[in-house]
Formats: sequence, structure tokens, C-alpha cells
Amino acid sequence: MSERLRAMSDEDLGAALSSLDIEWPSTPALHTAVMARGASERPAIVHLRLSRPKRIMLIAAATVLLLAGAAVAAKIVIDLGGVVVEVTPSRPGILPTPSIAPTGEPVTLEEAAVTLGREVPVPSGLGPPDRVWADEVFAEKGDVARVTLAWHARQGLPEISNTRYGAVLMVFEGDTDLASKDLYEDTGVLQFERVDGVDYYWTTGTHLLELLTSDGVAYVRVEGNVLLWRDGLHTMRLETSLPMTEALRIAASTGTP
Amino acid sequence: MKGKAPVEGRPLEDVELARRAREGDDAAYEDLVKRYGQIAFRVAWLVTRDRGEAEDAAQEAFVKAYYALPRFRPDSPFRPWLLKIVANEARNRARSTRRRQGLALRAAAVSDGDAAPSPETAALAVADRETLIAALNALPPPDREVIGYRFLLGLSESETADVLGVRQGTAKSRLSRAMARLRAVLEEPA
Repeated sequence: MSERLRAMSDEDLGAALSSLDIEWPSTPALHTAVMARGASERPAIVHLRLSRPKRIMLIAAATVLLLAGAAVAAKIVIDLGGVVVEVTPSRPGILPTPSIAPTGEPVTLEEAAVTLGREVPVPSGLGPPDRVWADEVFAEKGDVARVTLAWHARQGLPEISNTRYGAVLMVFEGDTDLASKDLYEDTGVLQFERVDGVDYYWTTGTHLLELLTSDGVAYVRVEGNVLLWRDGLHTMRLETSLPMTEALRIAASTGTP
Repeated sequence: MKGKAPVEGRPLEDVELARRAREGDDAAYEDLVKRYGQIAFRVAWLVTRDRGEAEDAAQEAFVKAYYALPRFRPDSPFRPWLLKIVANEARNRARSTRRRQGLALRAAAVSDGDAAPSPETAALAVADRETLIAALNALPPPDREVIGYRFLLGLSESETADVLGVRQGTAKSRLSRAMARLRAVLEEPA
């Protein structure tokens, strides 16, 4: 090994790395393929105003994956980055009591933003949250934050079973798998939606949420309706008792990344 | 082409191109793809180390970015926003294909016809370059990724943090740990 390299300071080693002439593979003509795809796929993407429920309903019917129809498949796995959804044929005999998932330490929105490293996306459709928590997990790729916002049940925002909240929004940082959802064909429904170019996954029915927290792994039985989507580098999980069209409206009102 | 020509031949700013693309000007988005195609592909290749996967990931990322343009903040730089999407797409693909053993980094061949190397490159002896690249290839993928973004692709600290999807402080400490491991590999007897 080179004495010269070993004697280098970090700064000099960085400069040496920067000066390396790497043999990169030749860059393909991406623009041709991308623009061709953009043109061919555009009709499937409908830009709609979410304030128009009827139009949402039309889009909602566009792509539906009902578990009953997928009974042949042994397992369906959807990886959204921070959350993995697995659909399995049948639920186990024993499940935990329904509850709200562990949320971490109560914090202010400002503190949560520091933990998350960005402004916390608050859905304007729900207004300021009643509770905010933050949790940080040391994962293989480094520390990963999870921020949870909750809104008390109120008129138009019915209570999620076994909680006193009407909506709970979890924001998972990055793409480290912090949560895994086991959904069961015999009791659950998984539905895919694309609205304004954003892919949403809607689950209803009993499922098991396996969550990596700073206190270890938590297993939570969830009965509420859950909407999952990616927002930039974050995975969002909105739990409510609302129908999908309402949840989509709330999701669309979330602050942009 | 549907897009408007740049004023007096000056290239349009990314934000302006993104704004035009968002309003349906496909030529503006094509300009962005051309502008960042190479670095996007290289980011994807650093993660997947497979040319085909990298091409697919970069292409998919550009398509996703196109549809995500309404959520792009015009007060923030476009390049890290895009590269973040590229790196995410590449990681998802690498994870789903479980393809961990990709191509190794290699030094570019220098022929007589090539332009004169930069003073820094010239200062780094051929043997040192090969040693350094061998050490890079011996690192775990996350270390190689952070060093690759920062030094091989020349991203800023802030951009590196964005592409990794972590805070800048986290990216700095991750880079520092990666450099320490690189140094440890260099210390190993040949």
C-alpha cells in the first residue's frame, strides 16, 4: 500500500479521490426514452382538483386491486421505502389488541422539524395537529426519524377504533424500512390509486403493523383505514376512519416536500 | 419543439425550466433530462453498479420527477431534488433485485491521445490511483456510495445529504466514518 496515501490528511485524501478519473459506463440517451415514456403515459395521469369529489371517484375507480381477486397469489409485497406492505392469505389466530402505534416523545412541531430535517408536512385539510411526537431509530443506514401527528376526533373526523383520535399521520424519513404491515386477504382490502402522479395505497380491515421504534420492535393491531404514499424522500401513513376519497383529499392538502 | 428559446442564447435556469415543464412545456423538461442525464445515471450506477439497472432507475426517476414537478419547490435547487429521486429509485431496485455484487469501479484508461491530466491527477501516481480505487471497491456499498457522491461525482455536502435522504450533519458523520474505513483499508497490508 502506498505510504503517500496513508500519510495524507483527510482533506488531501478527499482531493485525491476527487481527482480520480473513473471509467464510468457510457451514459445512455435518457432524454429520448424519458420523453417517449412521458408522452405515452400521460393520458393515464389525470390532473384533477381534489376539491371535486366526483372527479376523485372517477380516478378512484381507475385501478383497484381487491384481495379477493388476488387470492391465488401467496403473498403480495409493496415496498414504499419507509413502509412495506405484505398481503398474506390468512390472518394468524392471535393478534394484539387494537391500539395506536407507539409514537415516541411528545414534541412541538418545530422540534419535530429539527428531528425530521425538514418542515413537517401538515395537511391543511386537518389544520394544526393536537399532538406531535418524534422518534428516532438507529438503523443500519444511520439514525432515521419518524414524526407522528394526531388530531382529536371531531365532527367530520370520526374516532379511530380504540383511540381518541380521528386522524394519525406518520412521517417516515428516508427509505429505511421502519414499518411492515401484514394485511390479510380474508379480512383486508388493498387498493392502488394514482392521483396527480402520486401513487397511493389504501388499506382497510384488520392488519398488523410491525414498527421499529427507539424502544425496539412494536406489534400493533390496526383496524382503521390507512392511506400510504411517498412524499419526496418520506413515506407518509395516514390512519383515519374516513372513506378513501376523504383521505385522498387530506393527503393532497399535505405540505409539499 | 414546443418550448421557448432561451433568452439571448443563455441557458435557462433549472427553476425556470422546471416551471415551464410543470406548465406542459415538454421541451423544457427534455432540457433538464439532457442537463442532468449523465449525473443521474452515474448516481444510479454508484448504487446499483449495473448498467441496465442504472439506466432503468434513472429513466424511471426522470419520469417520476416529471409527475412530481408540482411538488418541486422553486426556492430550492433542482439538482439535489432530482438526484434524491434517482438514488431512491436505484436503491429500491438494488434492494428488490438483491443485486449486491455489481461491477467494480475502474480507473479510466489513459491513452496518448487523451488531453493532459489535471495537476492533481498528474500528482497522483498511477499506482496510487489503482490502490485508491481498489480500496474504494473493498468498502461496503453505503460507504462507497457516500464517498462516490461527495468526491467522485463532486456533489456538495448539502447535495450529498439530500441524495442520501439524511440531514447534513448525518451525511458529514457518515462520510467521516466512510473515510475512516477507507483509511483502514489503505492501512491493511497488501
